[in-house]
Amino acid sequence: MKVIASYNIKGGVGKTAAAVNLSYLAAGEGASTLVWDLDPQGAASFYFRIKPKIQMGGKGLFRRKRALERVIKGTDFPNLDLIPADFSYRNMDLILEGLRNPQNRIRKLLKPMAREYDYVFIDCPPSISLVSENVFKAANVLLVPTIPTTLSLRTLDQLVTFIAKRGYRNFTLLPFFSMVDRRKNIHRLITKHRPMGMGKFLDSTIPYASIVERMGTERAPLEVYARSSPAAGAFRSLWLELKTRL
Amino acid sequence: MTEFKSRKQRLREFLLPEGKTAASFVRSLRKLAGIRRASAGKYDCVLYDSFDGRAYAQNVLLSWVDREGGGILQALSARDTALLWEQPMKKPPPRFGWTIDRPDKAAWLKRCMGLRALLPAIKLSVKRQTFRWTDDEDKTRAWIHVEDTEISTGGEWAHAGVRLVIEPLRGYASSVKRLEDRIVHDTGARIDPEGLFVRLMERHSIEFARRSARLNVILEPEMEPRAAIVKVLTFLADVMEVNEEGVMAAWDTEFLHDLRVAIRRTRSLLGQLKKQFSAEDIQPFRDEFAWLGQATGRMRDIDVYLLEIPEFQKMLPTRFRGDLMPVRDLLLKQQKAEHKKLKAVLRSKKYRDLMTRWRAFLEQQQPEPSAPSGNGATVAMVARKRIRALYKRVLKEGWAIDDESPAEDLHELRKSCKKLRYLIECFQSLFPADQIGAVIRKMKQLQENLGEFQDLDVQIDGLLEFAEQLDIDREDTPKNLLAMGAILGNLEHRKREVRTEFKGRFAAFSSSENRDRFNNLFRYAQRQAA
Ligand SMILES: Nc1ncnc2c1ncn2[C@@H]1O[C@H](COP(=O)(O)OP(=O)(O)OP(=O)(O)O)[C@@H](O)[C@H]1O
Ligand SMILES: [Mg+2]
Repeated sequence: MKVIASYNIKGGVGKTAAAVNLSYLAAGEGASTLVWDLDPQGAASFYFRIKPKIQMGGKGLFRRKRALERVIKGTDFPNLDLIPADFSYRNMDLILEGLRNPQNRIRKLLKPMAREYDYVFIDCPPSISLVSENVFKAANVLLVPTIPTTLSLRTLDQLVTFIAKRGYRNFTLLPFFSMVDRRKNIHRLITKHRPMGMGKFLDSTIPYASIVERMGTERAPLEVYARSSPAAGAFRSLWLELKTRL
Repeated sequence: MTEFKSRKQRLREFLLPEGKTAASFVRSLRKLAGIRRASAGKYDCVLYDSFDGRAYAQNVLLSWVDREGGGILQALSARDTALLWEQPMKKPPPRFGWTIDRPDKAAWLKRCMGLRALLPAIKLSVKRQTFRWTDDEDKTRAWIHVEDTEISTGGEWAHAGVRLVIEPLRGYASSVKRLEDRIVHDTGARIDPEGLFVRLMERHSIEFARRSARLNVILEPEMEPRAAIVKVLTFLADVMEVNEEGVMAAWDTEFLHDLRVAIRRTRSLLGQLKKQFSAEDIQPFRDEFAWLGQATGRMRDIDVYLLEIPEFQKMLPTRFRGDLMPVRDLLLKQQKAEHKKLKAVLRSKKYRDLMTRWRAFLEQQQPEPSAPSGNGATVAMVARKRIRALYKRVLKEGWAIDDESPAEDLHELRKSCKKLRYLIECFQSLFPADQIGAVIRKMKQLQENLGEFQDLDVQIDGLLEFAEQLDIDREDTPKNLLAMGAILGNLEHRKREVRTEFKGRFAAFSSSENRDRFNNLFRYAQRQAA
């Protein structure tokens, strides 16, 4: 089982878009796939039309035996399941703080999932917190959608520094350019001259496209309603490339 | 049943209410709240299995369904209509399940099917309407399929029934239970614990039984010996003929294997029980079956070598594994040529005539029901005598073998064991199943050792032979030869191990405990005969 966390300190960069579309592609190949919507706002749950609510809330996850198994919901697509978000996730840091070994709780919860799933995609909330540290401990890949602007690169740099300081070794950092707008000079410039020393950027990039925004009204992965769009093609290439790095 | 890592999802099947059609059921279904049409169309659905029904024997149904947005291969439990796993698959599944590109499912199929090919067992044409049962966010909680099904039987299509399936999505089981109750209550449909596919497969499994090469001929102890032997020989002739088509089409290597085992068993019986027939009657058949065994042998050898290539590769460090490819290519080329010859043999007048005359001969031997049975011997008496004689021979040959004995002695013993095993299997229905089972198990343990010793010899000879056939002038040939040399070393080493293990195996076989097992069989047969 490979755990792929879609993560960025910044918000609104395409984390959820990546988690939803990539997990759909993985499942479409027959891999047993799970998405964990860790963001209390529940965007991923929303895209899959699943209510952002779990029995006994976030607390219950750490209290009950086989807690994850009980809250998994099947999506409308074969081989693709989801753990919904819950409003109580906004207090997740507090819940975790009260537990023993608070940085390893998510890794522990996911461990038994290996019997069932080939891939777990975690859709993370932005910012660095105890939750994200849990994700860092659990992940095999940290997939970082990055908008090609100077400011975003600075944030990525902060992340790289943080990771180095903590000495995580269990995951590969894989940033990729997201929401790339060819009309913008700075986007063209930055995607052309890959920044160095921030992990190796994936070659695939995701263009800025209004068809991606439509996920909000279609409430389905891109592949379902716009298979032949360039953006859908971009996610397919991203998935192909990501697979070679697992 | 072979377990799979994903948690299985229970499907529920329903029977249409008495006298109702699919259309009228759909009308009442659509009156329920939250039911939405998802898709409709006519699709192919094929239930796959091996020629001899291995999946079904393990309570598994493999269905490939063509459907909206691409086909899917599903493994279903035949016991409780549960979905074990599914794999998107645009085209019908590959002949060998283990070649699909999901390692876990490939391994699962390998365990389930062994070396056998996936062949269409039942072809269906399904007029399917799919509905979703949704919640207030328009999220699907369950799929409902109404499948009006036709089955293809010898080119004709016949109505096979309507399959109503409710497929709950994970995490919605408790609400779907409510839907099921409502369907039962509002439409009059009844829960179908078995399911349509199982009923169709159950009917089809007569075919599987007919094709099985396992010797399961039921004999009565007081039968006239010749009649009993003819019954077994007729069964073996059936096995040969049932496997012809698969040998010709080269679906998988088991067809030829089963065909050849039937030939060997036939020859062995004719040799062991020749006194039951007139020598001049059966001598021509013995000669011709010997010819047939020979004419089919080379192809089998190549099949075996090819099946062993992956094992050979495992003996090499990863980076040298590719060096065996030229050997494989050589074998594949020879396999093709050999298969042509084999087809010619099976199509030949000689073979056809042999089978026709053999059948005619077997029919002639059927005694008149009232005819007095010669000297009054029964099959139980003959079986006891022959098995006992062979058993004695095996013991004698085995005891004579020590650490210094030449390989030929082991090969002789292997042959005697095989003959003994065939005889026991052919007459097994005359003995209590548990006793005969124990005896066969013990025999197997000895035969495994002797068989492996022989196989290793054949493999070593094969490698030497292929080494000579490689093109000396090719740049890679030295590398290929080195790889083969490494394997040779491995095989020689294993051969020594197997030779050392023989002593223990034979000691177990000839132990007083196991001798008692045999003697009990003989006593049992004697009582039967008395
Ligand atoms: N490639 C794209 N082109 C255009 N719009 C996009 C693209 N990717 C995402 N969006 C839109 O941008 C918004 C933010 O995207 P998304 O939710 O995927 O980002 P996020 O990083 O998960 O955000 P958050 O931090 O709020 O969770 C959404 O409205 C989404 O529809
Ligand atoms: Mg998000």
